[in-house]
Amino acid sequence: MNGFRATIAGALAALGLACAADAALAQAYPTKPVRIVVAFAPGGRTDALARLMAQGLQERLGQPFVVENRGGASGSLGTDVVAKAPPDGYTLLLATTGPQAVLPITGKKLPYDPDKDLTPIALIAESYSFFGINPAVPAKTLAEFIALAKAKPGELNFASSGVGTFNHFAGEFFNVAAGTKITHVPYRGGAPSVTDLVAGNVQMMIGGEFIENARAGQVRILASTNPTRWSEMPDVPTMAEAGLPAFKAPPIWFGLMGPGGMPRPLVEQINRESVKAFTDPKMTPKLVALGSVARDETPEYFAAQIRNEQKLFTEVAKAADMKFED
Amino acid sequence: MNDVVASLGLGLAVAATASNLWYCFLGALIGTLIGVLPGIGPIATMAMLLPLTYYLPPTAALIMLAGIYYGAQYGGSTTAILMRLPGESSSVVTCLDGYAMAQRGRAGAALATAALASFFAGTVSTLLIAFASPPLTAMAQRFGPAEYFALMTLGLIAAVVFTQGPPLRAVAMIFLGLLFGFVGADVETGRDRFTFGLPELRDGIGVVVVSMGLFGIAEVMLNLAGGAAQRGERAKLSRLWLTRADLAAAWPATLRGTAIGALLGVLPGGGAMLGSFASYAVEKRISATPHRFGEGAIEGVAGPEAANNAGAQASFIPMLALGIPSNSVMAMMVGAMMIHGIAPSPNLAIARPELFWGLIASMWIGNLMLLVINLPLVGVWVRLLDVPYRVLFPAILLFCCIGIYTVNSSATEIVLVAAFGVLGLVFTRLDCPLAPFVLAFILGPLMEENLRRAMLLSRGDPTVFLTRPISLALLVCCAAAVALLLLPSFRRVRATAGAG
Repeated sequence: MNGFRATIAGALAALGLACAADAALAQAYPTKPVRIVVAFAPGGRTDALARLMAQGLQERLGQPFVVENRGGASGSLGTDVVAKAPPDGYTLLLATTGPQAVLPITGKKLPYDPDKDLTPIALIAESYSFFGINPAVPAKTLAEFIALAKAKPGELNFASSGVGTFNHFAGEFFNVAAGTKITHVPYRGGAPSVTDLVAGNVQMMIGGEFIENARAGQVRILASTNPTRWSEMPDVPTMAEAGLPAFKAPPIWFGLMGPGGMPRPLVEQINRESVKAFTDPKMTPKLVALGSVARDETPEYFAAQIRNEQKLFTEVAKAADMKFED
Repeated sequence: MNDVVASLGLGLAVAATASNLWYCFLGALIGTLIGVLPGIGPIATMAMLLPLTYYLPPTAALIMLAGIYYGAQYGGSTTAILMRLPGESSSVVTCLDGYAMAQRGRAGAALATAALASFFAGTVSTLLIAFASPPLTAMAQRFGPAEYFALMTLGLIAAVVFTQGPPLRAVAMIFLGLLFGFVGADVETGRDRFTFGLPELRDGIGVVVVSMGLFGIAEVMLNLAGGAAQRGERAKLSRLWLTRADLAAAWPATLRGTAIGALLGVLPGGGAMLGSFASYAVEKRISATPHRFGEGAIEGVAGPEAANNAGAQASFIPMLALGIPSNSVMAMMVGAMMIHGIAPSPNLAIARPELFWGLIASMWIGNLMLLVINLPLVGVWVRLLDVPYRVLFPAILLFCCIGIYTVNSSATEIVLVAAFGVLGLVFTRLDCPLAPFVLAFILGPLMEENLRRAMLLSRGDPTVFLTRPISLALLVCCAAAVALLLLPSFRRVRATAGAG
């Protein structure tokens, strides 16, 4: 009997200790500066969102959050830095669609295992993308554009900021959904692709890079490619509303990830704080300026979404016969 | 016409904001500083400061970098006149008569002439940029990939034709530059090229890395290897006022120098130096008393000084209007724009009018500032020469390393900078010109991209380059430029110009 009670007591004590340790861990973090790795060079939306997040977390948690840019190789260099860091919460990754959902399915050799070496922590924001065409193209609606593309198979072109980027995939998602054959023309980055869209050398592009050009009348937006309309352009219909519900390209997202095997309480704490940082009303106008909106999801939801998107991207790559070579 | 005036108004409004005025001043100040110091040129300085411009708004970054370039033209003449020590290659000619004037107790007059002639030339060439760019830009608006390819081909051929030295070396450097430009993922297929399995090379080698290595690091090494430059005895300063006779002699020389400098500055491969030599030669030839040259002729200071400043500024025209850098300095400006995601293109004036016109207006403001910085403060600048190189050079190297590391937190890039430093040293020792290398390095990938894009858009039909009129005209110019190079009489002229 005594033995049994001792066991119970011991178990309880152990449990208590474990809880206390968890609590202590939760309270103790962070005790030193935290770095948020951005897998792209300074400037651009990912970098800007990372800096906003760093500022928000710093205010909430009282330790400096430092943004470190480690650009290169489609984001795999920066991701690798985080994948190889200790899972103590002091090295975080500003994750996004390109390196985390697209890169793993393109067959590029990566120096890390995208599933095991990273812990999804929080989905923090979603950005709006649009279906834009050159204003000289004789189509006022998405339906008219599809009809035009079908009438002239192989004559129209769509621009992207590079092979395997969101713009590239979104364009192929469109080809698959609408049954069109619009030729992909890759550029080196977002700016030159928008320049050629405005000049009319290419007719179409899907992305968030040309919002300002659209406001200046240089690009005609036919639809928003997100599931919902954007508050700043309430008149622009979604793809489904414009008549193409089969269009399945997921919106561009931004999130926080850590190295593989991060302790659960730490993941939950950072999830909670980062979501609070971005859903704070004073953050809203800054996010809107970046064409983005805050998200509030669990780590599990985030992990499932990444897996689901990898599947979607793989399917469209197969359907559109996209080729990636290492 | 009215458009240009209105646009210049916009530019002045942009350039006159407190922060832009500050960066303009900073650029002019740094330019004067490094202009005074022999051994550190504007290209090396701009290369060192490139990484810092990440943290500036693009307009401020370009305003500052431009200020460094034309500021160096002012600073370089100060030491040329007072110590027969050309701070910049473009003020070599100023040493001849400027130092002679100083030795005759007229240092002040020579300094004033140099500064005023530079200011006049700066003002005129600012207006030239403002009026010449819009028509060029308007034409370039109709450019597609085929036209770009033709334009860049022309740019590279012109770099060979107008670079000094043996054409074969220039050609070799261009091909080497092209090869280095091809490192990284292929734009059309995403396949890696020349990366040797290093993921750091997948995005290609950065413009900043190449220019900082070739110009910044190599220049430090060359200075250390070559020993200190020969300095003349420091002349005493005197009154800055010019007499009526001085003005009468300097005025026409300034006008001619401005015209010569601007003309040669617009040419690809042109810039400040060519103009100053040409202007000196012209002044000497048309003078009624050519024997005075070399003994303190004021025309020999006014003409070349006007020419080098006009040339420095006129070389902005091809870069701003067409997006084609014509020399290494402009390549650096393009690099600064690319850092901010602004692609070099003829669309600049329309896509970013505040940047385009703000930069142009800032040049005039900067020239005005330089007049103030240089004339009353000339004594301060001369004192700078007392800073020992054993302090200066390590500081420069440290600054380069920090600058490059902050961009991508990449140690690989520091190693690459060092490697390009060695490469720069080797090239310079072999008398291989660096400018064609850098131009090809920047233009090469763009040229390839546009070639393949043009072919993709024409669905594989190569006649697209000949059926589009602008593209055809540019390719005809290419052929003409090559023919020019083969012409014996042109080769003689080119050789003499190269010999100085």
